[in-house]
Amino acid sequence: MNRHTTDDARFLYLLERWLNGAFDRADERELHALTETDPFRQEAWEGFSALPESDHAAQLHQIRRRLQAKRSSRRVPFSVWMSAAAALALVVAAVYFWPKAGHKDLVQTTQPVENAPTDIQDDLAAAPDPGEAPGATATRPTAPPQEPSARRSEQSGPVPEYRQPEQDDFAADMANEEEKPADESTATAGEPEAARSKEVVRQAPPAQPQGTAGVPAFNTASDKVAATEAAKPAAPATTAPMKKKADSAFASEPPKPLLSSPAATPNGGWDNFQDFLRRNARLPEAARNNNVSGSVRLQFTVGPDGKPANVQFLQKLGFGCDEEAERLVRSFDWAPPGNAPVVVVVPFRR
Amino acid sequence: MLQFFRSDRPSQWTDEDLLARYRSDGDVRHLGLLYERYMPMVYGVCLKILRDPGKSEDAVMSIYEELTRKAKEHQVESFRGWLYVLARNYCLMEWRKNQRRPTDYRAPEDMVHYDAVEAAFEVELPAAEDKSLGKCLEQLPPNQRTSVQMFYLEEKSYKEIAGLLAEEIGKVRSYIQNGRRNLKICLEKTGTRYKS
Repeated sequence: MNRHTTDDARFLYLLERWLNGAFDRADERELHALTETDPFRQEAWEGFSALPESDHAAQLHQIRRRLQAKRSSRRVPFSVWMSAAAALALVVAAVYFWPKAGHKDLVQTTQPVENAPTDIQDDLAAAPDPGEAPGATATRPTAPPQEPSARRSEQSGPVPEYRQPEQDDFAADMANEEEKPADESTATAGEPEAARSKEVVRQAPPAQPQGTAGVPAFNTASDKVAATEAAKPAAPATTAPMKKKADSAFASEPPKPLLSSPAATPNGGWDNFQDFLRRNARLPEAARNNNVSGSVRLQFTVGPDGKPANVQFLQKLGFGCDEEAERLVRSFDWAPPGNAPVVVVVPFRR
Repeated sequence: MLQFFRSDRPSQWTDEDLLARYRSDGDVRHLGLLYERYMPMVYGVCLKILRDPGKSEDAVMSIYEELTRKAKEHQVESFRGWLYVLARNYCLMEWRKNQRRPTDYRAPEDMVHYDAVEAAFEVELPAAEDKSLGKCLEQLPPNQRTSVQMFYLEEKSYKEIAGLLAEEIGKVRSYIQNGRRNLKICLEKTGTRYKS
């Protein structure tokens, strides 16, 4: 065990209080003591306190977003995403149209559903984090129809505020499906069965973060955007009990009280937007000629038309970069409209 | 199997566990989780050296890039210490690159040092007029003086002070910091030294 772990958590907690204003004299004394004993903390603190007026919380939030975008784009090439999306669309279409073919066909789908949790758990057990479902595999199949859904809600128990809406719908779906008469479930396993269980597996990833106390970083593939998006509305609720835990917001675990405001998001999600910036943020000629590079930071609110309003520059580069950054940000639609400030960093590269 | 008992979720694994996993399977989620533990501190170190939020943000990203490469090549004993050195060196290099352009750097001596001021408040609570602390307090600009008094003597939080002064929290952070620095300079001038 790292001997710094506890002290670091404490330090980050105090830093968070310093940023959100809950900081008082007693905190200062403790922070002082913590920085004196370690050069890493000391220098980090000197850095933050050198710029007391900056909005470091927003900056940290932004960095986290960029890190997560980087991680997910690294792992899955764009083409794979596209084919995954196409496959999902097919599956959804199949499921949507299937019940219309008749009641009997509908009932057939109960069989795979019962198997589905098995798939999930196998998936989890095979995942690089075996700790996720140690006990789950033991209680596995042969369960009566209601059991799987019960086990599901049990899994998602520890962190209710991080449950995602899709997940709820999905669990409800499952429950509904299970309640249907299962006596005909011995019918031949057709294509829909394969399709259904495949869908279940695809939907499974959101269950994983719940198991891991909702670490958004550990979302798999396509649900990442949805997950981070869905986690946002939950954030304000968690801002209240700031004092209770030391390692909350900064310790990289998901509850990021003050670091994630319920601010607007770009149409198509942040990942999409970052991708767009990477492709389109080109240095204007004037900036290139003047050997300028770096990023423009701007902050804005979202008007009722979904376009940025009250654009302010938190960091300018000049030579046309600022105008270009504003143009890029304006070329996206933002939702929901509101006064919560959105901070965007537009990195220009040579 | 041992993993099962020792820790049931990646967020509770030790640095070394996560690093070992990244080294064995190359899964950036492990390294990412590990990096995010220290990210605010890395950002702070970059802020100290570069004195610029935007540049520091870019540096934090670049350090992560460097980390993904170097974590595989080097045998690391203590991840934390290693990351600190890596981050520091990267930012110093970045800073040297920009040296030719004038920036509004303040010398590191301006850094906030608590000892003198904190000790003085410990001794002279509440500040009497004839003591040097009282005199120095009087010399501060009004906003700094009120903020410092409220923070040290009335033990109010930044938020409360911000509410009372109708100022932003960032401003209050700044008042208290500058007020404290000015106080320290003033106290040293009057020859008062406090030891706690």
